[in-house]
Amino acid sequence: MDTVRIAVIGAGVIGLSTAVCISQLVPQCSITVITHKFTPNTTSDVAAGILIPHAYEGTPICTQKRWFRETFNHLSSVANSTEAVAAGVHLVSGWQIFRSIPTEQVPFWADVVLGFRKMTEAELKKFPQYVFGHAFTTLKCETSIYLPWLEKRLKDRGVLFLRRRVEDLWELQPSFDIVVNCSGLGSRELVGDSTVFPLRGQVLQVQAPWLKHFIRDGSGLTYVYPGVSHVTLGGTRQKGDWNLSPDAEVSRDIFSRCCTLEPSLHRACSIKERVGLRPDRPSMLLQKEVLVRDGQRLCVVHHYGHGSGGVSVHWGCALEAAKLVSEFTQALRTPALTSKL
Amino acid sequence: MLHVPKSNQSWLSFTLLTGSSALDLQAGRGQKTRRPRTRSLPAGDKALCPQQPHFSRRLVCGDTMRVVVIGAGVIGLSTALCICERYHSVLQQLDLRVYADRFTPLTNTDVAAGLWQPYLSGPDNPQEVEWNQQTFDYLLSHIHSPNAEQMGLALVSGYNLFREAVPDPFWKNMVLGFRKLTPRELDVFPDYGYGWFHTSLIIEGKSYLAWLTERLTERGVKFFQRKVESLEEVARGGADVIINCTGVWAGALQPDPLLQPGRGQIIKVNAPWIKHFILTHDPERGIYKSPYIIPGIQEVTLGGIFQLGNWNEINSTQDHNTIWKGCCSLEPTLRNARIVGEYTGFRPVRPQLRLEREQLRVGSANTEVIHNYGHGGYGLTIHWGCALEAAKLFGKILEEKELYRMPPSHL
Repeated sequence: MDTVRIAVIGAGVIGLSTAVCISQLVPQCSITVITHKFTPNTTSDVAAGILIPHAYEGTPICTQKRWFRETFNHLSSVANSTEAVAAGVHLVSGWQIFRSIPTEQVPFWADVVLGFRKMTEAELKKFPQYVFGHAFTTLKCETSIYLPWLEKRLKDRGVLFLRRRVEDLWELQPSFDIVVNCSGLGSRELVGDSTVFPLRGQVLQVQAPWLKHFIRDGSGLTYVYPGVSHVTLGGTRQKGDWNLSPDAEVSRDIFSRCCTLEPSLHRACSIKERVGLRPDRPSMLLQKEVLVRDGQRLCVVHHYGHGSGGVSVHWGCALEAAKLVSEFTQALRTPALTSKL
Repeated sequence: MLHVPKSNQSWLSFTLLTGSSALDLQAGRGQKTRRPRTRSLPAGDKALCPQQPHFSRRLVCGDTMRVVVIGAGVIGLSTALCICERYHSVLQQLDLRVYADRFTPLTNTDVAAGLWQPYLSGPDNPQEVEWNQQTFDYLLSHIHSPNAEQMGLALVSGYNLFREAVPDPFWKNMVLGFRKLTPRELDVFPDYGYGWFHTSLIIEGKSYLAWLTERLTERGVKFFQRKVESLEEVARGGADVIINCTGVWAGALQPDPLLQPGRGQIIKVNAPWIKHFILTHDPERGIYKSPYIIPGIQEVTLGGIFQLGNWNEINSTQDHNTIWKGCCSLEPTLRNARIVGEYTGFRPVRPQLRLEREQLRVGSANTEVIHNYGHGGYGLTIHWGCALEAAKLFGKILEEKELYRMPPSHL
């Protein structure tokens, strides 16, 4: 059996987890991760990494739930293993609160997280401007620790890393048989997908070790997520904004909103501003494509456009992307099928 | 002139500094019980005093009430603060001082992890239920105050794990969001088949004692490092009221066969990924003998040692291994944790805590004593309710001495 040569473009949470899943699923393959940005400079590095899914329009709820459940279960087993600390994965409990009773009182993912229930009156007293809330336990995947851990796992399996900015998918031909495009926002340029746009997110990373609970405003716009090395305060959703530099006015606004949720934050210190451009898209793209040019074929699996919910579904999606790669691999190894590609 | 022992001389000079005359003091001494019956005065009304000439030798309003709190753990300092807060404005002169052999960070309070949680079974004394509730409510009310950090106060949620189903605890409605664990949650803890989840508080002993000390110092309370050998010694020193908060060492001042040390040892580690407390219970072995993990503000406390009658203050290697093995088995990620300290303390164990008055006859006078000790492993959990009760008892003493009318007063 010939070794199938696979290139994964992108080394954010999607690229790295997809590479891991491919290495586990596809026998006899070589994998090379090619990108110009590695951790800690990826979009994923800015994300707090809490497992609370975002609703994706255009994707059936049952699929989203499956992705989330697979991600949750996978990270659960990491959290319970000896790898937990090295991977930066841990349990965290907290509250999601609403200023008015939401139409959907029980979200689709309620039975995936742990101990999901409505908040009691006594608990709501802590949030005077809020009338309704959910209490549950979920996982947090501290990306600044998780990404290096994924990279190490890949290197241990012989995956190669190449620092290079890919301008055109055809650059990878004939060196690679299959290209997995996990370039996130980069797909706009790389494959000319104008439906991908940045959803700018600014966050503050602060020191507040007394905070043990997450707090999330139901709108998702304001949140306090305590992690291993810092607490992430957020955030913003600025459509079409490409500015990677932190905005001081925005920082003040984030801090003020978070202090309303959690007054003790007034004494938080060591405040760092970070900006990430979420790769948003009307719907996430997870599908095969065969590019043809001058009689040459290039098998591509697109896997990008996760917007605000990348970390929450990354493993479930990566498994599916690996399956698509596996389908290509089988086809490539079966001459009869190759002509049908 | 009476011979005044050295300790009294310092008291003398203290009150001299605040403006009382030496005459008042000399007249006051030794005449505590031979007070003429008087018309009760509204508390704190200075204007009435000069109009009561028959009080010139004992100006009721102008008397200095000399209070000594023995013990500077959470019980001593919180009781002192509670009394100051309630009676400072009522009494012309409240001279309160703290005598202790050990101060923070060398008290037993400093060793406690600081998680608010009473024992699982209801206390023998039903008053303790109320005192626990009062303490939780008091601490919860401070969660959003700017003082919370200095007090060492934070909300924390977590797990109580059992091998079999147990009845709900009496405090289930005091804490927030109490519920049973779901099957998937129990999957995280393979050795346990039943459990609870709730949100409680931590109040870290070291920070809290430092905060209490600051509040007391602001109010003019003085601290004296000394080993008190007897209650009589303090009474002879001029104390009107002694508040005995000597914790596990109360037996040295007054034999108490019901009081025993419940030795505990803990390991402190750096493990910032741990956001929940995990307490395991083994009803056959007894409280605190099963592993527990309690995250604090900066460090995580690991424990599971309770040895009745053991006075050994040195950390034991065997206990270290018991704690480490038990906690790592419960939470394997701890194997990555860095150990930053190890401590031994003595829980002041008693079938019920002792919170009551006693009159001590010293020479020809009676000295009032309020005992407040024997809080076992739930001192931080119950401290404020006990402080309030001790303050109530103090108020009764003032009433009896006709220095104060307990509210509601209608003169």
